[in-house]
Amino acid sequence: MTRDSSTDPSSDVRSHLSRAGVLIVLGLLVEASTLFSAHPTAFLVFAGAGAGLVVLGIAVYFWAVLRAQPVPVDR
Amino acid sequence: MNTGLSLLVLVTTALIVAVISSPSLVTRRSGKVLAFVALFLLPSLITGMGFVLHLEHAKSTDFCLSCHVMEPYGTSLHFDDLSYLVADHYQNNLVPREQACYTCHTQYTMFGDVQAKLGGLKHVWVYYTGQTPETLELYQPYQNRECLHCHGASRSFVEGELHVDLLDDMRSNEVSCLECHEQVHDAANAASHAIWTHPDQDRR
Ligand code: HEC
Ligand code: HEC
Ligand code: HEC
Ligand code: HEC
Repeated sequence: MTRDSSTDPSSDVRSHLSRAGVLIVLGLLVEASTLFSAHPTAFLVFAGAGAGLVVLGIAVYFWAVLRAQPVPVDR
Repeated sequence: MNTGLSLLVLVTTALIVAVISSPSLVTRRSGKVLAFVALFLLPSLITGMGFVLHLEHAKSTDFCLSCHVMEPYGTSLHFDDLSYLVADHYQNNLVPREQACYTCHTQYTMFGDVQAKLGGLKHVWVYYTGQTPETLELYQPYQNRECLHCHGASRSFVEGELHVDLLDDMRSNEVSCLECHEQVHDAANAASHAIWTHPDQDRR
């Protein structure tokens, strides 16, 4: 991937991070809504929709961070 | 624990909102660390704990019986006839009531090996597509180890008259417990059995 130098890289990263944040928050809310039920449907929704969104959000987050800095992030 | 986890979800949500609306996010080191916690660590932790919680739920008798195809098996817990293994173990508290099914079916689907897990997916598929067969059958013959993890070491078992000569064969599963202890669920005729109820309604 080559970066387009004409746009501000930090605002590009920020919009990716917002997207990641929205996905993760949605996923977590779905997960929380299934925790009070012991029905198999609740588990399916938890794993399929909730965890799926969270994992997707985390992937977007890492993608944004890696694109911003080819050198691994400092922890 | 459900409540605790829900609270953690709220805290994380607040943190994420704070993080993505803060300008220092991509510039300052503290912002990056906070983003890492809010967008990776906490969500992973919550999702992991959620899986554990759902797995724990899945061991409950209520969970097993929440699919109607399992209902006759639930009825068999209450047969007014202690010659049925399941009724005897349940009503005399020989298996924990809240996890009755799981205790005798520890290899079932998500608790078992990979093959069992795949089998579990099949159940879910069969269930939601409404292709449940007339009578259910075990995918694999019942394993004695499900009984032996309780009885294997007990004196009443090893000294049982008809057990003594068969101990090795039973451990290796060559002789099944069910050859002699054959009254188990009788699910096909569950409706025709008399039902025993605990005098204390809450215990069922
Ligand atoms: C005391 C131990 C015990 C308990 C408790 C128990 N089972 Fe079973 N279950 C068995 C055994 C043994 C078999 C194998 C019966 C056979 O092969 O004839 C079996 C078989 C089954 C089968 C396969 C179909 C059949 O009729 O063989 C299903 C389904 C089943 N059990 C569901 C349940 C559910 C649901 C519960 C909880 C409500 C439960 N079991 C509780 C011991 C138990
Ligand atoms: C999603 C609904 C659902 C739930 C929840 C469920 N079952 Fe079942 N179960 C089924 C269906 C459908 C079948 C029949 C599958 C087939 O015949 O292909 C089945 C078959 C079985 C069998 C026989 C097949 C085998 O795996 O050997 C056993 C034993 C069994 N269930 C035990 C349990 C126990 C124990 C629980 C709780 C831990 C449970 N079930 C929860 C739907 C469910
Ligand atoms: C959670 C532990 C547990 C499991 C699993 C279990 N049992 Fe038992 N069972 C007991 C206890 C406790 C007793 C009462 C003490 C005794 O007789 O050893 C008992 C009693 C029995 C009895 C005597 C019943 C009576 O009223 O005298 C038989 C027969 C029996 N179990 C067979 C089985 C078989 C077969 C299995 C497997 C399908 C099995 N048990 C699984 C705990 C268990
Ligand atoms: C060859 C037939 C046979 C086999 C196989 C067999 N049993 Fe038994 N078992 C009996 C008989 C007969 C009794 C005594 C009558 C009764 O209580 O049902 C008995 C009694 C028991 C008792 C009650 C003991 C007591 O005195 O409290 C338990 C527990 C038991 N069996 C467990 C098992 C388990 C677990 C297996 C499989 C690993 C098994 N048995 C296999 C025939 C058998």
